[in-house]
Amino acid sequence: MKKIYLMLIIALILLTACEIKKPTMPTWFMDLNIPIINERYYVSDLVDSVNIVMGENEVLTVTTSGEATTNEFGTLPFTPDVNVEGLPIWSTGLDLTIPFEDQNGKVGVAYAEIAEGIFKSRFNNLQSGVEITLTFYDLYLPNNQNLILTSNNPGNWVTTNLEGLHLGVANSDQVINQIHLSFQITPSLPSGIQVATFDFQANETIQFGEFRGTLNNYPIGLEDSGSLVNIDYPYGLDQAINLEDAYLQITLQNYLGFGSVFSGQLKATNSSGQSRIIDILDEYGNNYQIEPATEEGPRIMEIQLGHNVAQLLQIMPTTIQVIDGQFLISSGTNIGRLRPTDTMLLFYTVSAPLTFTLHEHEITIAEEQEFSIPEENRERIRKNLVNASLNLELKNKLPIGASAKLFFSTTPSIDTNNPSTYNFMKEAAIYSANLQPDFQNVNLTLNKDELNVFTSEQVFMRFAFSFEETGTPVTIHASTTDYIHIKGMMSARVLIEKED
Amino acid sequence: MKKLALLLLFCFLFLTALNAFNTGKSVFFADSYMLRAKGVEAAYWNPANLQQEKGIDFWIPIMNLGIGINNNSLDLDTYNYVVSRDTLNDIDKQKILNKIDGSLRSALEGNISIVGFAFDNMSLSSSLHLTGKLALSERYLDLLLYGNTDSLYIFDKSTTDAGGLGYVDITFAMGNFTLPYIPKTIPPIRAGFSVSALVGIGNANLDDFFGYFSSSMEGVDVKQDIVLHTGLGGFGQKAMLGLASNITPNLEVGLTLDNLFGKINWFLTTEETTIKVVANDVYAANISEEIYDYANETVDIDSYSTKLPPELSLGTLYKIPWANFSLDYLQGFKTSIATSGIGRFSLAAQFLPWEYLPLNIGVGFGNSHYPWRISYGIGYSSKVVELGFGLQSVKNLIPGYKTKGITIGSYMKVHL
Repeated sequence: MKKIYLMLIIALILLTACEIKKPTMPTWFMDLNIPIINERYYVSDLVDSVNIVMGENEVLTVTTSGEATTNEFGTLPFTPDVNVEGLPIWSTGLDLTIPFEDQNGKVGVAYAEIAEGIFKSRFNNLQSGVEITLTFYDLYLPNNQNLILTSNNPGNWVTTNLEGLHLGVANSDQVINQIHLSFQITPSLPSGIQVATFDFQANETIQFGEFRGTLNNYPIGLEDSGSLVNIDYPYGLDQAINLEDAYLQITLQNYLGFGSVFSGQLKATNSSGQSRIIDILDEYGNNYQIEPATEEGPRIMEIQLGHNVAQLLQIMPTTIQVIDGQFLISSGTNIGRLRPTDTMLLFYTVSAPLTFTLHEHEITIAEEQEFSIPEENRERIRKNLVNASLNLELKNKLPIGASAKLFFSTTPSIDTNNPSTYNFMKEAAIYSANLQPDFQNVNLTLNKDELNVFTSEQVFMRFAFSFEETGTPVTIHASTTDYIHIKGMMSARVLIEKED
Repeated sequence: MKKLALLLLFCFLFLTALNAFNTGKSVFFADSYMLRAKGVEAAYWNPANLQQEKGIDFWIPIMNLGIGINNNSLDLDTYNYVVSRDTLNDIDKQKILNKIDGSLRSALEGNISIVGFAFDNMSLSSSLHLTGKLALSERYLDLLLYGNTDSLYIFDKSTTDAGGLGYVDITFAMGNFTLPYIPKTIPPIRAGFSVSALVGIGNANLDDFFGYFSSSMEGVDVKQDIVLHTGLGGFGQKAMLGLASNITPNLEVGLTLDNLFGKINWFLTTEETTIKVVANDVYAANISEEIYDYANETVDIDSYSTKLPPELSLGTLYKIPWANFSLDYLQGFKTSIATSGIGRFSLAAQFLPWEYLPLNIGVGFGNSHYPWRISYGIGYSSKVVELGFGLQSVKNLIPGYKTKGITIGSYMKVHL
């Protein structure tokens, strides 16, 4: 019985003797698996209907557009060749016509507003008391009255400023080859008496403003023959890609009332200075005929350049210029019209279906990324993060593959060719659908030393990538079966501990 | 704050599967007490034994109590081991998880006398009963220690549960009726009954619990459905029938059927809280979006009942001059907040080196929902006063580092 007492006492003593330790939280490592991403990136999502469009057969097509314009036509030079000397004026008056044609034979005037120009006239040997009035039936003052000169200053050359006058009648379809002059004498005198002689010179260039008539063999140069197209290849992609196909469509708005023949060349120049030139010709090898504008508005023409533009883009040009561009007007006897403000507008669209050949050429992104890591996160990485890995599953349905390199450093100015300028580099590759049609695994693991890079206040990153060489041209389609599916799981071993 | 949380966690873990005890003194015998209960206590254990030769038996208020917390898995040794480690390695983690068999089940039990007296073959008494339970799936701890290394974690009500019940009983009992028409070849059989009016204080019951957490390359999927019923203020009733017979002068057997018509109707405030969280295909890249649906709705509901399923108890008691021994078996008909559908045995002995100084020991044999336990108690007994103090250790022979729970019990009554 005493033993029973003893046991009970021992039990109570044992219980009361139990040490309950001070509660302190131990630390432990926990493995976290965090899904990062599960997305399909469809090629068709790239279509923005502006710069990237869906072309024929659902081929993804890069397009760029812009516009160029010729200078305003300005004034039209017309140089007559009139030189009359000692024309006798008789007491009964005189009506005559004088040839009034362009010395160059290019301009035929039916109606023209004169922006600038002169002619000279002189009455000699004027009988005393006689006054001669000279009417130009083809020259009109702004109030549509004929130009009239008088013999007020006999013996001296009189220069007449033609600015503001117009030649011919508006809307006339009759080309003026000669001008009609009429001399009236006052007072009336018996016939057969010479009352004066007349000299007339019109051989300086007259500048026409609004014009109606004919133009023949009259060239209009493309004054602005600078870059028609500027192509900026990001990250030097031009070094790694050869485009196989491209189209240039030019929509021309002709405000001139004259048709013309457009001739010129396209010159493409790439970043290496290499250039390639092609003639701008239609599919039959002829120059493009530009139809004249009508009364209703400008003439709009579509010029499709497809069969040979690819030759230009194969050198991956950075600029495309129109050189030696010219509109040659030859209206024959057809009446046309133009205004000084008339221009030719060129709207261009370059379309490049993404059919290309890829070369193995490493492209290093010039911009260095800089990350500022907050102190709190740096502390957590330093204390709690043991290692981390990013496990990616990628399904690439595209016919192109690439490998990428990520360079990390705690100091700027990473030189990807000099390992001493960066702390570590990670590389991953994704193969084309041709090589690997199923999910591919990519695993990026960071050990503690690599993670410690992110305990720095500033972390710098540079990115380089290279395409998988295709050998033959490949085409990027934008159908629903063309996508890249990325699944990502971040795995990290973290230290769980009491927060201070 | 972390220390407090850790302490609370471990206190919580000491809670175990619910097994409400009826009186403070039964703690001394690991509930092998059906035929040992006399006086007021017989109203709760077997009213057939309710008999006072003379005088009145009084409970001293509050002094008859039993309060315990326990769990099925963790012990003080584990606690000390965990808090003394600077870092838990994989062996430590596995050691912790190995102690948990699918679910960390815990319970809080309390029984405090308010008033009670017995005279002749009747008694009138009142007690406060508090019970609470919590079951936490092992998978939660697995997640906490190892992280989400598996792709799918499922949590349902079989491994995660919670509930609580508090009520006061007002019990009237009569006993010591000798059953008529018993053949003389059979020893006399005493019978008794008790009826209890139950005043519900509060109830919380997890009606539905289902959730899962999966993480894969496809993203994280989370679902959690919780339906919680809560009630404040209620009335109910239960009844007990008891039989007892002395087969020989030394051997007594008994039978009770408890919780007859047992239920508490909650009506003062009854609410249903529904919490639903759903998130599908969540990954870090879309974390800024609306990634989950969350609904938390609490609505008033009609009154509902907490049922107290019937329990059948069989007991036997063998006495010799300096000791007595008992064996009890309890079988509930259904598992509830206050009962278990899985039967269990309990065995107890009382030694009387001196008549006034009883020493008690009891063993409650465990089952899948009830961890085994052992009780020790010491008391003082005279014709006028009885008092005692007992201690119960769960899943360990003596209260100590390996104990997974502890219950204290005391009693004090006077006989006038």
